[in-house]
Amino acid sequence: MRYETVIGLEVHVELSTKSKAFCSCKNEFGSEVNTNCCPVCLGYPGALPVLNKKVVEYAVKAGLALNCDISLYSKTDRKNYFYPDLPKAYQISQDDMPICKNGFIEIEVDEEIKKIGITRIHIEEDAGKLLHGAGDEDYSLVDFNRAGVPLIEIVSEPDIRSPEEARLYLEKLKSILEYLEISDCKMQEGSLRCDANISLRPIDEEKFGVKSEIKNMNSMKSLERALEFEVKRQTEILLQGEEVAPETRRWDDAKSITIAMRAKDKTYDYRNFPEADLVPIVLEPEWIKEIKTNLPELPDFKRNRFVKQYGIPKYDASVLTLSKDLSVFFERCAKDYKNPKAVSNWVMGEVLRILKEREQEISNIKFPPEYLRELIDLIDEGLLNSSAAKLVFEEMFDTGKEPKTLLDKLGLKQISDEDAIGELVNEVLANNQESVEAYKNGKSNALKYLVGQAMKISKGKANPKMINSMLLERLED
Amino acid sequence: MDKGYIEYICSLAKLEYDEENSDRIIEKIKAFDVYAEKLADIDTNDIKPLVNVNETINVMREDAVMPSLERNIILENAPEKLYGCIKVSKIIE
Repeated sequence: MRYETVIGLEVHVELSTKSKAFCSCKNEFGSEVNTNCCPVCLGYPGALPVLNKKVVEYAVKAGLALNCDISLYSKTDRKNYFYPDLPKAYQISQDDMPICKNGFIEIEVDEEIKKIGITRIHIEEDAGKLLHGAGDEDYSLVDFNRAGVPLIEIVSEPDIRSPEEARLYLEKLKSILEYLEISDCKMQEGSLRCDANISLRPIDEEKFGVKSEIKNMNSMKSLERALEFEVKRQTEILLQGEEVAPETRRWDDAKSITIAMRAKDKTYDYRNFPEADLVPIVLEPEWIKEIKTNLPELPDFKRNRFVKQYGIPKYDASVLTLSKDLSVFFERCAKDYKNPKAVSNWVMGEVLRILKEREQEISNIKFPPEYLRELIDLIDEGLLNSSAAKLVFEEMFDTGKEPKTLLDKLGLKQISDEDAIGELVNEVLANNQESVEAYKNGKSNALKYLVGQAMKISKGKANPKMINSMLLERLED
Repeated sequence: MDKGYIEYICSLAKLEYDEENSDRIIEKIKAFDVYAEKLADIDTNDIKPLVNVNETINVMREDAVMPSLERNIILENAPEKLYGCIKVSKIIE
């Protein structure tokens, strides 16, 4: 029997407003514990919430960018459950009347565009943070700074058919949210959190199989790995003629497995009812239109523009526009430059390589993008060969200094002086008679060896093109 | 609805209760139940769902930060505290 994978994702996004969703406490990650709290977010009796207008604006922005219908009339509800990180014993959320519905995201799978439906986007508040000691203490500590931080929850349709598609969907979603500048989308810090519902069904079967809900995936990679593990686990169960248990499972990144947390046999009743302390949200079509008009350029649009404007391959444009910061970096480098593909190669190659190696973000890079452009200019002018350029680049990355200054400091300036190259060539020819003979007898590879020798003597500083042509000239004489 | 259930509810709500009065409490809570069940008999087919009792809409505030409470004031309300946090029974799923 062959099975088809069915995945739906629920994504929670912390909005980067200045203040919280329903009170004026600071919305900030990393503050000292319990310093951004007030009677509203601590759930003191009699305290009244008031909705932050920016939260509505950001949710509408997200809805428009994700092709949703924006509800002209929506409301908030109380979702009741008991947990120490939830001081009111209910979460203000939106139940049956979410602010956005019926959207979609386009992803590219095997060079084909696939639409993944978005069921809904709703506004809600985050809970506090529980801190558990590493040891065997019999207590937990609560920090309420996060309580009341605004979230939007984005729920996809079960349209995703593989772990890879799930990653592509989340990458695209993250990218769009970053472009909108409504969240910093840091999975490691929890400002973008993803839960996945996954089930298998026999191919050609319409009815969905029993699903597991997977939590605790802290990166794109762990989302894909957790789902791959789950496909394997559920396939094995089904092939043995058994049934998958409906349960919530936690991804353990270190062990690379999912672990059962709790059964999901009964649906928990959250006793949702309208939040009487808050009034309905009624939106003016004009306001929505204004937000739509002012939406920034989004990733797909920018990718197509890069292809057209800079003549770079679609693949390059996709990589460069997935991150907003990277796209801005590229564009500042490539603007009015005769060879944007060279810039693209540098950004996709050396820049991404060093960022990954040093575990840094493009936004924290020390040198301005224009310096990379200067570096490429130096190569074009023949002042630097490509291997020396990589050394200059690393130094530029570490110090933030201008490439010209570094070139002199590192003594890497390329030798392009004809007399100097001529001397080098003479020396190489005199000391490598065997190779010279070999070349004359038709072994064209010998030329490469001779160029290599000249580069070695010059400690990598000689202009390889000039050496090549001068050697050829002498050998053909 | 029995004594055990009342005890459980009281422990969740951090209420003290007098065991001698448990029969009386059970009876009172049962009366809520009976009342709530009555609501199910009402025909609500032609009634629009009520979202809010008053007709006000769009009460919102600008996104501006105001001072929060001093931490020591927050912690005064906590039965137990540690390292600036509120201390609770260990909860790990």
